[in-house]
Amino acid sequence: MLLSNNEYNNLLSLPVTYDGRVLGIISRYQLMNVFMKRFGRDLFGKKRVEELMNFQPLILKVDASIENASQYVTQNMSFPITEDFILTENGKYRGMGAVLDLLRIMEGSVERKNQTLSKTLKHLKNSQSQLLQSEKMASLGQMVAGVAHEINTPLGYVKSNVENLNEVLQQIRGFIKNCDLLARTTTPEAKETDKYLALKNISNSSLMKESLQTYSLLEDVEDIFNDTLYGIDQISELVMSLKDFSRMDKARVDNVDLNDCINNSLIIAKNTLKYKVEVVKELSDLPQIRCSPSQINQVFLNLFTNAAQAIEKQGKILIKSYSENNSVFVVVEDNGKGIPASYVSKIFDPFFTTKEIGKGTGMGLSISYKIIKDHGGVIKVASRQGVGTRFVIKLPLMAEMKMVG
Amino acid sequence: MDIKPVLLLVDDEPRILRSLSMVFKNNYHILTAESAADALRLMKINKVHVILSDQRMPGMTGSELLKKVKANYPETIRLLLTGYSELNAIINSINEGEVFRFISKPWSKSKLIETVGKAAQIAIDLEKDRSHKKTVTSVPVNNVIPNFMVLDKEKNTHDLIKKIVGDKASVFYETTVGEAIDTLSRENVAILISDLKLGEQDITAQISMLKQLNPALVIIVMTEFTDTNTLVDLINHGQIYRFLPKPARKGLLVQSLNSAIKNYRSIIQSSVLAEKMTGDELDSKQKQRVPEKVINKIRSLRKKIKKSAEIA
Repeated sequence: MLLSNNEYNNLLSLPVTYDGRVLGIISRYQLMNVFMKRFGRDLFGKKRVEELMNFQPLILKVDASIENASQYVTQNMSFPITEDFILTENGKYRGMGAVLDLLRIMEGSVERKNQTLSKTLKHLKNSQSQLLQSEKMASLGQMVAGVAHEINTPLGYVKSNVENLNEVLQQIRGFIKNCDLLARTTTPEAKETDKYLALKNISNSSLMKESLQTYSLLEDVEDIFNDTLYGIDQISELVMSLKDFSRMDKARVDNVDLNDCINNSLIIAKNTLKYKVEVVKELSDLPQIRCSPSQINQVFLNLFTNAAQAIEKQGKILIKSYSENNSVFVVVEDNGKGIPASYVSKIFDPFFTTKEIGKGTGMGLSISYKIIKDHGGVIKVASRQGVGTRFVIKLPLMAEMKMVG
Repeated sequence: MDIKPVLLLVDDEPRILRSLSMVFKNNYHILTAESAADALRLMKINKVHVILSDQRMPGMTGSELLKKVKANYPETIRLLLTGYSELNAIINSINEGEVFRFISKPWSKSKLIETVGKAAQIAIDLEKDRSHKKTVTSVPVNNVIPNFMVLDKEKNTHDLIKKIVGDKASVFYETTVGEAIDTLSRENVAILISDLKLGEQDITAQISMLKQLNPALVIIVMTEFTDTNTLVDLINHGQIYRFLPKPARKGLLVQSLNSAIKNYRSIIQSSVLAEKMTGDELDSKQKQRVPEKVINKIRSLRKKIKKSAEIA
C-alpha cells in the first residue's frame, strides 16, 4: 500500500492524531485560510486545531486493496480535492496517502485490465470461429458419412456385377476357343479324333453343361449390364449433387433458384431421410435471388436433418416455396415430436441443444439464423409438442448482403 | 453332391439381390426378399440354411429380422451385411440375433463366397447332427454348472460375478492375458467374462486368439466404450457370445450368464456347434497387436492340447 511519509510535498493535508488514534485531518487549504487571509492569523490563529479540522477524514486500512481503496475514495472524496486519506493499521495511524497517487495507480491497473480484456475478447473471437468451424466440420462429417453410405449400395452391386461379368466372359472365351477348334475340323484333311475332342470340349464346357441355362445366363448378363449402368448413374448423380452442394467450383455469391438449393440438399440428406420420412414438395416457380448458395444449402440441410431427427418412427416433411411481395419464402414443416413451448424461444441460441451429447453441438440453428440474417432475411419457428414444427424462411429478392466466413 | 443348401438373400435394393443371386445360384437354392416382412413370410414355407440380410431397410432393420429368425428358426445361420451402421444395431445383432458374421459393404466376392460356404456347411452339419441325435438318446447334462473366469483390471467385476454365481461353481479372477492362459490350460473353464482393455493394453485381438484356441469357450465381453469396427472383429474373429456395456446392469448380467450356461451345455453336446463357434483367423495386422509372450504361451498350449487329443 502506498505510504507517502517521505513525500510531504505532495500532501495536501496533515493528519491530526492523539495517542496513535486518528482524530481528523486538516488541509493546506484550511490552513491557508488562516494564514494567508487578511486578519486570518488574528481571527483564527489562537484557535485549537480541532475547530478547523475535518472530523471525518477518509480513512483506509493499510491492507485494503487498491481497488477497494479507490472505490472508497472516489465515492467519498469532495471536490475540489483538498485532502488526502489516512492509513491505519489496527485502528492506529500509519501514514498518509495522496488521492492523486491512488488515481494514477488505478489508471495503470485499468490499462492493464483493458489489455487483458482485449486479449480475452480476441481469445473469445478465436474460439467462436473455431466453434463455427467445428460445427461446419461436424455437419460436413455427417454429410460425408451419409453420402458414403448412399454410394456404398450402388458401389456394392456394381463391383460384384463386374466380377460376375468377368467370370461369364471367361466362360464365353473358353466356349469360343472350342468352337474355333471345332470349326477347324470341318476341313477334309482334319482327323476324326480332333473333331471328337473339340465336340467333347464344347459339351463339357461350363456354358454347355448347363445348356438350359445358357439362354438365361445371357439374359442375366443383359440385366447385369443394365444394373451396373444404373448404379454408375446413381453414383455420378450423387457426386454431381455433392459438387453442386459445396459449390467449390463456383462463385461464392450467385443468382440462384432456391428450389435448386432445396433439391440439392434433399439428395445430400437422402440417407437420413429415406427410411423414415416421406418428403412432400410444393415448390412454386421462383425468381432467382442473389445469395451465397453454399450457405443457404447449409441452412436447408440443417433444417431437413433436424426435421428427420424430430421424427421418431415414420413421418412426413412438407417443403413449400413461393414468392410474395419482393420476398422468397421457404417453409419446412415436419410432423415430428415438436419442441416444448419453453424451449421455442431458445432454439436459435448458440449451444442450445436437447440432443444427446455427441449428437449435436447446439450450433446448427444459431448458425442458420446468422446466415439468414446476413442475407437480410428472417427465419421463424412455430412448434407444438406432439404435432410438429414449422420453420419459415423469408429472403428478400434484392438483398444487401453481409458476407460471413 | 447332395441337395443344394437354401440361401435367403434380403435387401431393399433389388439390384443387390440380382447381383448376389448370380454369385451363388450355381451352388445354392436361392430365395430373395426385398423386405424383412417378405423374408419372414418365405421362412414360414421354406427351410432356410443361411440368411444374408442387409442392415438398413425400411420398416424392419436387418438386426431386428435376425432377432426374429434367431427366436423362431435358430438352426438358420445368420449373416448381416452392414454399410455404415449404428453401434446399437451391431450390439443388438450380437446379443439378440447371435449373428455368425458381419459382412461389410462393398464386399469382397471371394471372402463372401467363403463365409457363406462356411455358414452353409455348419447348417448342414447341424441338420445331420440333429437327425442323428433323434435316434440316439442324448445324455442329460442339465445340472452341470461350468466354471467361470473374469479377466478384468477392476475387481468389482469379479465380485459381482462371484456374488451371482455363488458357491455353485468356481470363478477364477485374472488381470493379465498370460495368467488367464495359464489358468485356462490348468482348469476347466467354460465361460469367460472379459474387458477389452487391461489398463492401457487393448486385448481385443488376444480375446479372439483365446477363442480360436478353445472354440467351446463362451465369451462375454463387458467394456465401457467401443466402436463398431471392434465389435465386427470380435464377432468375425472371436465369435463372442454377448457384448455388455459397463457398468453392467445386474439383471442383464444374470440373464446373459444364464443363457451362456445354456449355450455351453449345447456346445458340449455337439461337436458341430463347437466348430461353428470358431472365428476367422486374425490377419497379420491384428496379430501384431498381440504381445510375443502371449503368442508363445498360446503356441505351447496348442501343442499340449494336440498331445492330449492324440492320447485320447
